[in-house]
Amino acid sequence: MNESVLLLSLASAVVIGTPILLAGLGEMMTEHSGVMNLGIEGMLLGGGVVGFWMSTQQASLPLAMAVGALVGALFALIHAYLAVTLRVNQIVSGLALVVTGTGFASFVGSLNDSSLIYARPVSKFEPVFGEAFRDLPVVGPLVLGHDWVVYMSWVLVAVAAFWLFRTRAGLALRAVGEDPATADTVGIPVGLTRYVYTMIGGAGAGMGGTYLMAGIFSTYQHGISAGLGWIAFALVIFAGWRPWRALVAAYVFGALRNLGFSLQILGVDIPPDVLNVFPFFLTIVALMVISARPAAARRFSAPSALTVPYARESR
Amino acid sequence: MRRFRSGVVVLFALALVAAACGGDEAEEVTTTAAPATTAAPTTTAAPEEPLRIAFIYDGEIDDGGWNEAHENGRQYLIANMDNVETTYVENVSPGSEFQAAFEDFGSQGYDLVICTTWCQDDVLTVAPSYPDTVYLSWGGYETAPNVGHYDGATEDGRYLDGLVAGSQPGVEFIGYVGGFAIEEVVRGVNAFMIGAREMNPNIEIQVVWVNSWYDPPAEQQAAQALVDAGADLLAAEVNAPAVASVAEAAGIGYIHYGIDGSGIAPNSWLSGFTFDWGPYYLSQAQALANGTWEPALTYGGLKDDMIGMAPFGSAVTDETIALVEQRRQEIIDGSLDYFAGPITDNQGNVVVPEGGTIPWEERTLCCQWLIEGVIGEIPAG
Repeated sequence: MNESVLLLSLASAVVIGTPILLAGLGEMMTEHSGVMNLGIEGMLLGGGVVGFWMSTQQASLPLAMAVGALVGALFALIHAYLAVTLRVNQIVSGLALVVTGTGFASFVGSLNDSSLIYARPVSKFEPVFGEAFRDLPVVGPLVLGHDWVVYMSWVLVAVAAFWLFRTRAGLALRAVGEDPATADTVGIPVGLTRYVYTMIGGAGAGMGGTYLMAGIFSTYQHGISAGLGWIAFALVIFAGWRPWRALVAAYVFGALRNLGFSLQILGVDIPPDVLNVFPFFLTIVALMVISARPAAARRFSAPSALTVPYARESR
Repeated sequence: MRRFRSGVVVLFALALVAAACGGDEAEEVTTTAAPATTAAPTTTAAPEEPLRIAFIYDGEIDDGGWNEAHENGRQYLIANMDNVETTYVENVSPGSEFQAAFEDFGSQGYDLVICTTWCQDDVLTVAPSYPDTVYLSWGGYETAPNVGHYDGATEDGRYLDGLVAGSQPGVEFIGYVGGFAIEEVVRGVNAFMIGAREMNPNIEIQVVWVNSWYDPPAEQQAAQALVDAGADLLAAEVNAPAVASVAEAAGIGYIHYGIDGSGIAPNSWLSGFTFDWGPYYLSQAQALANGTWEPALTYGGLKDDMIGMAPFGSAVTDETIALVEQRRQEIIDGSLDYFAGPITDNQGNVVVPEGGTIPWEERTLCCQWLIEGVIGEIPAG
């Protein structure tokens, strides 16, 4: 039984890791364009609450996810306008987005006479594979037991990795993030690129939030994400801005959040608070390890122009 | 530079919008005696000034748990008392924010300020400066000339909850998500177990502490870990309903905490005790209006109508409902003492000897032990 508790705990880690992965993957694309958006938590809640509301109004979950992504992208558009067009401090603008998104979610959550807490999604995220597959030892619960969002997130990781490092568009994107002036001279639209990828980042957070509420919780609660957005932000750094690493890291972070309770059940007394700190602690360790090795530092460091606004012909 | 300025203006606008939406910011709303909206004018027979009452919440009023139960109490007060004017503040944090709120309402001359969560120390700091304002704090024990305290006897309700849980066919391993391992919660777990074992002596309860009163992801994960470990029923003692959604997804029974939450888990819902704060708030407000208010410690249970039961779910049989009602009456008329000894803790020590009990006056000091059959421990410190 003890083994199965841990195994199921890992399977739960994949589930809770998925919103972290979706939001983190989006933020990764944003950061590759040279824009840092600290507002993940706000976009996650703001996009998620509308996506969740959508899931309570009609049966199509893909539509709810799309609406959540759209609202997340609209929140990100605010950040893009401030950061790219007005060239304000991206950190301040991102933090403002956290407050805005959180407030927006609370506002929408309490709009009706009966608040969204009591609303239910019309349909559920069902496992993709049949019971015969899900009952297989180990791979059953870990790999084959999930709903389509988990598998979609794997596809998105592959697409992101391919897009970033194997296509011209990805090269253009990374050029904008590394050296926007040079990218500009070869005709890449720096501003437009940053707008598009900032909004893609918001869409990822919005999808993550919708899945968190409509999929994992089947309910809305105030402050439901409780810092998952910040974990997604740490994830990007921990993964060294690489999609495949983000996939693994998201599940490690998810497992760390889960493990505390499973260990309590097994009689191992580690306070959950300690494990909750681990994602951030690991991120710092990863930064230290990477910066200590020049070769690694070149490969896995932040885009050079990250947080630096670009204005043509200014220095 | 101009562009930079316009950016700052937009940022300020954003912050204002956020503040208006009231996410993390404390939010203040005033309602007069008229029910719900100000549309219907109340027949104010008394020409004197209305009694002004402020409520302070540490979360949001529609959290589906703790704060919503207190908000229901405020609504009860509004509906049942003439010439009263209430206001509330949400999302106030303990410490300096509590003290600032107490001072605000004190200096505005409010007659009664009710703090709905643990805030004794903050109340005692501020109260002496505003002798004309009465402060009520939940869970405190040290009174002052203008400070009283109140608390609900969780264990009364938890014993009945245990009866409901224990009577569910096939239930032997109950998962219990607790906030903090403080006396009140531990007392609740113990009473729950006494009720559950009365129905089925084989029942075991696994407790998991989340070390928070409101952390939906942590509660969800703790509940999921319990389901993974084989729990066939979930109970919760945290502010929010995250555990309910896990029970609903797992298709197992669920016992809620402190409020009617049947809408949260329509299929899993069994029952759960409720905090009925309304009558107490009304009695305090009336005593103030009549000039008969005295500082007191109020510890109310089933017999004081401070604890009730939420509606039962469809999986609860009429037989069980009748038994719960019978036990409720026995507790109210004093013929049943569920804490009657002998009681053994889960380390094998006799904590209440044969013929002994945990007297009502000493209830709030109990418990620093988990009863026999509960798996888990009270973390040190």
